[in-house]
Amino acid sequence: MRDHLIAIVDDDDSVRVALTSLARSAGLRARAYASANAFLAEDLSPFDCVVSDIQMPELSGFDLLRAVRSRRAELPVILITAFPDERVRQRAMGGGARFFLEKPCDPNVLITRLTDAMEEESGP
Amino acid sequence: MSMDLLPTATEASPDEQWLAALVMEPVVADGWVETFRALSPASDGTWLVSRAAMPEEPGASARLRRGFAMRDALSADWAVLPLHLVPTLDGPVLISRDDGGGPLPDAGRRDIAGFLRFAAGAAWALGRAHALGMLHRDITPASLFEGADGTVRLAGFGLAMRGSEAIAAEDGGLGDPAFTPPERARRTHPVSDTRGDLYALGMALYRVLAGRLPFEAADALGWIHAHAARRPPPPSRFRAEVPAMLDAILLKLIEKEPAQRYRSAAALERDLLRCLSAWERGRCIPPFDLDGAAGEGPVPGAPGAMAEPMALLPEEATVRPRAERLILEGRFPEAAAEIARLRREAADLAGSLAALRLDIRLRSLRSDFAGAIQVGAEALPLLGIKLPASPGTAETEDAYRRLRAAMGTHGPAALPGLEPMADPLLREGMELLASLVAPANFVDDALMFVLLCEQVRLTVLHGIAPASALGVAWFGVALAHRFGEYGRGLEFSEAGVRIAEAHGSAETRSASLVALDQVSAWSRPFDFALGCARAALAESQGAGDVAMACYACNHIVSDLIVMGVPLPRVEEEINRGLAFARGAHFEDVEGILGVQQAFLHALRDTGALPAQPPRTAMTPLLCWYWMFRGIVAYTEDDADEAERCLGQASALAWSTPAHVHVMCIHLFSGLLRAARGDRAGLAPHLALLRGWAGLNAGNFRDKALLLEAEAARLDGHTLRALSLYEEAIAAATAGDRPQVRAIAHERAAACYAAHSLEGAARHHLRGAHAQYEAWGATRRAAKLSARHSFLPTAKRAAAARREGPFLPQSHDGLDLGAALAAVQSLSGEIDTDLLVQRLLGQAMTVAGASRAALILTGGGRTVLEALGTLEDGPQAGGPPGAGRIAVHFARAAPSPRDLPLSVLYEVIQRRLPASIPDLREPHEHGFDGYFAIRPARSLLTLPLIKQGTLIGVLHLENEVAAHAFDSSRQVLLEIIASQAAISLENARLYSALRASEASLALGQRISRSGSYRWNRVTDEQAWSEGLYPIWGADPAGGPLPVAAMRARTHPEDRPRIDALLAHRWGGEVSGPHAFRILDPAGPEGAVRHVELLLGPAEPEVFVGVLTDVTERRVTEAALRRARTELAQAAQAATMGELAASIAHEINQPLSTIVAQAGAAGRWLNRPVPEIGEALAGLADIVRDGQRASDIVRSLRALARQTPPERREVPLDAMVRKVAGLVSAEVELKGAVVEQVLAAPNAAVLADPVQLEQVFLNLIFNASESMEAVPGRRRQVVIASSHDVAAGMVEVTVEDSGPGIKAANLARIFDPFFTTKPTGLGMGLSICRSIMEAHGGWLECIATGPQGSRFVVRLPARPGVAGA
Repeated sequence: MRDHLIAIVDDDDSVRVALTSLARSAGLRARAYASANAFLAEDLSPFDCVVSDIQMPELSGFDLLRAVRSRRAELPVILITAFPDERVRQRAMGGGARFFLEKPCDPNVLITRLTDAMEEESGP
Repeated sequence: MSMDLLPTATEASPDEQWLAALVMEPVVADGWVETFRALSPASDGTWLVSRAAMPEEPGASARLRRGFAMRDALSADWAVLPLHLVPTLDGPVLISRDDGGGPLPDAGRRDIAGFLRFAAGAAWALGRAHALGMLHRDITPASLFEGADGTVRLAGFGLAMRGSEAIAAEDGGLGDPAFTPPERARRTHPVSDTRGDLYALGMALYRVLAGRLPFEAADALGWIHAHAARRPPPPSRFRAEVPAMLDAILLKLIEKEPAQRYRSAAALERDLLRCLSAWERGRCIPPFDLDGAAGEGPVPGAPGAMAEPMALLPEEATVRPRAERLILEGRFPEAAAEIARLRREAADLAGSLAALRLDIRLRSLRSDFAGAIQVGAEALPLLGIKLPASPGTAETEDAYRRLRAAMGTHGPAALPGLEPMADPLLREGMELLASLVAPANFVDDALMFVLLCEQVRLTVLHGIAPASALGVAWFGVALAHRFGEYGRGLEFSEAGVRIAEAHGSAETRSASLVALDQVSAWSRPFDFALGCARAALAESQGAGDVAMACYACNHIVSDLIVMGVPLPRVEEEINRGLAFARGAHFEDVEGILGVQQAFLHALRDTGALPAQPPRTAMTPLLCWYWMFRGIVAYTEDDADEAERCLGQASALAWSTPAHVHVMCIHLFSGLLRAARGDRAGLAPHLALLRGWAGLNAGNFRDKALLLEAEAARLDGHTLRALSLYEEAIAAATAGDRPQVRAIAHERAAACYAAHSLEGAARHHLRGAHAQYEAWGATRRAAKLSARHSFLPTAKRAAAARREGPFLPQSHDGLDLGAALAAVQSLSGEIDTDLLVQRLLGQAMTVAGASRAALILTGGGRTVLEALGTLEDGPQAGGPPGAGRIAVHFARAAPSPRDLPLSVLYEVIQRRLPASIPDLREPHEHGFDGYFAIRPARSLLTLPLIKQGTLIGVLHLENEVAAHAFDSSRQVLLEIIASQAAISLENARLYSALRASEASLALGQRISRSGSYRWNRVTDEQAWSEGLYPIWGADPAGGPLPVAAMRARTHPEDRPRIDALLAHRWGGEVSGPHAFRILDPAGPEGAVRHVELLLGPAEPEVFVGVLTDVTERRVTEAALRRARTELAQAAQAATMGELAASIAHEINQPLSTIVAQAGAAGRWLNRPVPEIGEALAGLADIVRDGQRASDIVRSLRALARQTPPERREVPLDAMVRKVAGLVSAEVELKGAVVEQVLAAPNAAVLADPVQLEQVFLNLIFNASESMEAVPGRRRQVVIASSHDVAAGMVEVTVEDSGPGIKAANLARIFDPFFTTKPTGLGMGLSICRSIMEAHGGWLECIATGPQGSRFVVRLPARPGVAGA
C-alpha cells in the first residue's frame, strides 16, 4: 500500500491541493492534474487508482472514465462531484466507476474507498 | 362551340352549383384575376370564367364587378363580352362569352405580317372603345384576346372608365406597373386619357413584337421610374428583322409626353395597315409620315371624323416644365442651365419664385445644402418673410415665443381644423420655407427650428397651405429635439399627419408620417413608430415618390435596429431599400442605408464599416457612421477607438433631431464611460436615459437599468448592481430586445467573475452568447466562444443544428401545438392505412424519432403493422435539411430485425412504457440482438390502451441523440398514444363495417352517436340503435320516455335542456348543445358528455343526433393539464439548474475544508506529527471558509427577486374568471365549483397572471383530492370576503375530500412534496411564494374529518371602499 500511486484530477485548485494533501497524509503517493486531458496524456500504467471530479471544462469525469475503461479497464476510478443528483450517480456507476462520492465527502470514507479499490484490484 | 346565351334552357341559372359542374382549363392570369375556359358537360357549351386569383383580395372582386358593370357599353365585335356575375363564397365569378382563342400564347414568335395584322386588330378594337367614350386603362398582352377567326377583342374591363366618371383608388388602383403610362403613376394629378391607353398598347405590342419589354424593373417603383425617365431602345435592338418604320411607330406610341404620341387609335390602325400592305407587297416598308401629321403636334380631343369624345386632359399633362423633367431624368447640369434661364426670363414674381424653388430643389438633390439655403435667403424677402441668417439661442426662443403667442390657448390638435390659406403669395412662401427645411436640417438645426416655427405660425395666422402639413409635423420633431418637449412634439406631428390626410398629397402624407415616426419613439411603443415608417413607405411607393420611399426605408431600418430585430431580417429590409435608392440615383439615402448595412455586416462578421467616413454634406449620415463605428468598437472591446468614434457622433448629434439613434449614442457613451471606470463621465448619459425611461418605460427602461447597474457597480454597490442587471435583463426580455439582453448578461457575467462567482458568471455568459446569436451578432458570439471554452462554437452550433430534427426540444408551445394537431388529425381519421401513416408520422415528428414501429395486438396475435423510417430528401413543406418520413406496411409477425423484441414483450406484459435514454450506457436489454444490428441511441416504447384493453404498442427510436425522449416529451407522446388507441379501434371497427356492409347502427356505435325522432305533442319517439348505450337503456324496452331522460340528465343541465325542448324552433338546425348524462355504468357521480344536434322535421316533430364526446373531452382535458404541468416543469427545471449551480459553488470550498481538516488530523496523528503540513492545511481551511461565506452572501443578494408587475385586479371578477375557466375540467372529475363572492368592491394590487395561477392550482388540487371519494357530494367552494377594517381580502378554497393528514400538513408547501402519483410537487410551493411576493400569505386548514380549506390573504388596494 505504501507504494501505491493515485491520480487526483480536479479543475478547482484548492480542492486539488486538499485532496492531494489528504492522500499524502494517509501515506499514499499522489499526482495531481487540473484536467482530464492532462491526466490522459500520461502513461496510465504506474497508477493504482484515479480520483476524479465529474464537472470539469472540456472533458468531464465521465469522459475520463470512458477513456480509462478503454485503455486500462482494470484501473479503478472513483468519481466525486459537487452536484448531488441521483441521475449523476446512476450514470457514474453505470459507466463502471468503482465508487461514487459526493462533495464534500468524509476524509476517512475517501481514504477507505481508496484502499478498498486498490485492494480489490491487487487481491486474489 | 360558342354559346351566345347562358345558361341554356336545359340548364339551371348560373349559380355556384352550376359552376362546380364545369370543367375548367386555364387561359390566362394576371396578378389579380385568373381566367379559365369552362366546358359545361351538360350542354357542351364553353365560356370564359374569371375569378380572383386570391380569394380574399378585395381589389380583384372590385375589378370583376366593374368589368361586369361595363357590359352594356361593350360589343362582342371588339370586346370579350361579360354575361353573368355569379356570387360565390370566394367572391364574385365573372362569366364571359367565349369566342375561342385567347391572349397570344408566346410573345415574339409571330412573323412581321402576322404581327401587323394582330396590332392593327388591337388598334381597331381600342379605337372602338374610345369611340364609345370608354377608357380601358389596363391594356396588357393578357387583355388582347385573338379569337379563333383572327378578330382581336379587348378583355379585362376591371379598371375601365366611361365618359367623365372617375374611379376611386380603392376600386382597384393602378394596373400592371409594367404597362402603366408615366402620367398615370405621377404622385400629383395623375391623368388618364386615350393616350394612356395608347401607351399601354404600345408596351403590349412591343412585348409581342420583340419578345420583351423595352425596360426591366424589379418592382412597381422600378417601373414607375423606368416609364418616367428611361429611354426605350427600338424593338429592332431585340429582333433585327423589325423594319425601321415599325420601330418608329412603336416608339411613338410609348413617348413619355402624351402630346408626342399617336393622336388616336384610329390613326395608329391606319399606319399599321399601310405598313402591312407595303410589307405584303415587297417585304419592305418605305418611310412615310406617321400619324398623318408629323411635326405639327397632334391636337388632343380635336373635332373630326375620328375625334375622341373625351377631354380628360388637365393642362399639366401637356406642359411639364422642362427643368422638372431634366431633374427627374437625373440630367442635373442641363437642369441647372434651364433653371438659370427661367430665373433670368421670369416675367413676374410667381415665375421667379417657381424658378427659385426649382433651384433649391436641384441644389438639395445635389447635396449642395448651403447653396440651397443661400437661394432661400434671396427668395424669402421677396415674400416679406425675414429670417435670421444663423440664429442663436435667443432667436430660437424668440421664434417659439412668437408662435405660442399666435396660438394663444389653442393646442396643436386645433390645427387640422383651420381653413385653407387663401393668399396665393403666402402659399408660395410656405412652399419655399418647406423646401428649405431639409437643407437646413443638414446645416444648422437652429435655422431649421426657426423655419418650422415660421411655417406653423403662418398656418395659425393664415390657414392651411399645401405645405402646412410638413411644417407642423416636422415642427413636432424640432420641438422635441430643441426643448425636450417630447409629448408636445408628438401632438404637433400627429396634427401634421392629420392635416396631410385631409389636405395633402401622398408625398406630404408620407413625409409627415416619417416625422411622426421620428418623434413618437420617445413617447409611444417602438411598434407605433415602426407602423408610421411603414405607412410612409406604402404611401410613397403608391405615389411613386422614390426619394421619400428611400427615406421611409431608412427610418424603418433604424427602428428595427433599435428594436433588436434579428439582423438578417433587418438586412433584408436594407436590401429592398437599396434597390430603390440605386434605381433612383439617390446617393445620400443610398449612403445611409449603405452605412446601416455595413454596421450589420460588421456585427455579423460578414464585412466591416469603411475605414473612412463617407464624403457627404449630409451631416446625419456622418453622425450615424461614427455612431455605428463606435458601437462596433465597443463590442470589439476597443475602448480608445469607441471613445474617438462616439465623440465624433456626439458632436454631430444635433443634425439628427429627436432621432432615436441619439439614445443609442448616449447608451453606448455611458457604457463606455463605465467600462473606463469613469463614474462622473457616466452620470450625464445615465441622467438622460433615466429621463427617457420615465417618459417611456416600455422602450427605454431596460437600457436605463443597464446604465444604473453599471453606476451601482462603479459605486461599489455590487449586490445592487447584480440585482439591477437582472432587472435590465428582465425588462429587455419583456421588450424582446436581444441586443440589450446580451450586453446586460455580459456585464453581469463580468461583475460576477470579478467576485469569483464563476458558476453564475458562466450562466450569464451563456445567456450573453445565446442572445448575441439570437440577435445575429455572430462576431461577438464567436469572440465569447473563443474566450470561454464552455460556450458553443459556431462549428458545434452548426452540428447541433444538423442534428436538429432528432434532438429533443424544450417543452414549449411548439411541442404542445404539434401534439394538439396530432390528436386532432388522428381523431378525424377512420381509414386504417391513412391513420397508421399519420400516427407514425405525427409521433415521429413530435418525438423527434428517426425510426418507429406500430404493433397491433388484437385477436390474440401480435402483428407488426408498419415501420416508419427517416429517409434522405426533404419532406414536402417541411424544413430544408429535414429527412422525409416514410411508412412501410409490414403486416407480419415482428422479427428481431424490426425492433428489440425483449422490450416489446416487456411492454405488452407490463402495459407500462419502457424507456432507455442512452443505449451506449449499460442497460437491462443489452442482450437483445437487435442492438447489435441497429445503431439506436435512445428508445421509447409505449403501450396503446383503450378502456383497459391493450390494442397495440408504439415503438420509437432515435439513432443519434441520447435522452431524445425526455419526460416532457413522453407526456405528449402518451397523450397521442391514447388518442391513437381510440382512433385505431374506431378504424378497425370501421373497416369491419365496410367489410360486412352493415347498417348505420354500427356506424353510429363507432362514432358513439345515435339518432332519434320525437313528436313533441304525442311524446312518440323512435330511436336508432346507437342511442340506447348512450342513455344506458335496454333496446328491448324501447325508447326512454322524456321524463326518464330528464331524470338521467345532470341536474345542473336540466333547465337548459328544458328550455331547449320548449323552444319554438323555426326551420333551422340548432346545436351542438353540450350537456351531461349521469353515467349509469360508471361510479356514482360519473357523467358522460354528450352533444345534441336537433332540427324540426315537420310541425312539432324533431329529429336529432346525440353524440357521446366523453372520450374526446377527457383527451382534451388531459392535454390542458399537461400544458399546466409542463409550464411548471419548465419553471422547476430552471430552479433545479439554479439549485445545482448553487450546490456546486458551495460544495467546492466545503470539500476543500473537509479534506484539509481530515488531512490535518492525520498529519498530527503521525508518530512524529507533521506540524508544517497541518498548518498549511489549516490556512487553506480558513481561506476556503471565507470563500464559502462570500458565496453565500452574494447568493442571498441574488435571491431577492425582481418585483413582479402590479396592477389593480378586482377580486371577485378574477375569482369568477378562474372558476369559469376550470369548471368544465372540474366537472370531468365529477365535482362542481360553487362561488360565494362577498367582496364586490374589493381590489388588490397584483400580477393578475400569477394570481390566476394560484387560484387555478388550488381549485384543481381540491377537485383532484375528491376523485377517490365515493358517495359524497363533490363540491369545491371558492369564497371571497373583504375585511375593511384590517384592509385585507381573503379567498378560501374548500373541498369535501379526504382532508390532509396531520403529518403532511406541515410539508405540503415544501418544494417537490406531493401525494399525487403524477404530480411534480411544485404547485403549492410556487403558490405560496407568489402570495408572499404579493405581501400576502397562503395557508391550509384541515376542516375536520373531511375536507381541507386553503386560505389566501392579501392586502386590499387602499382607497377602495368596502362592500
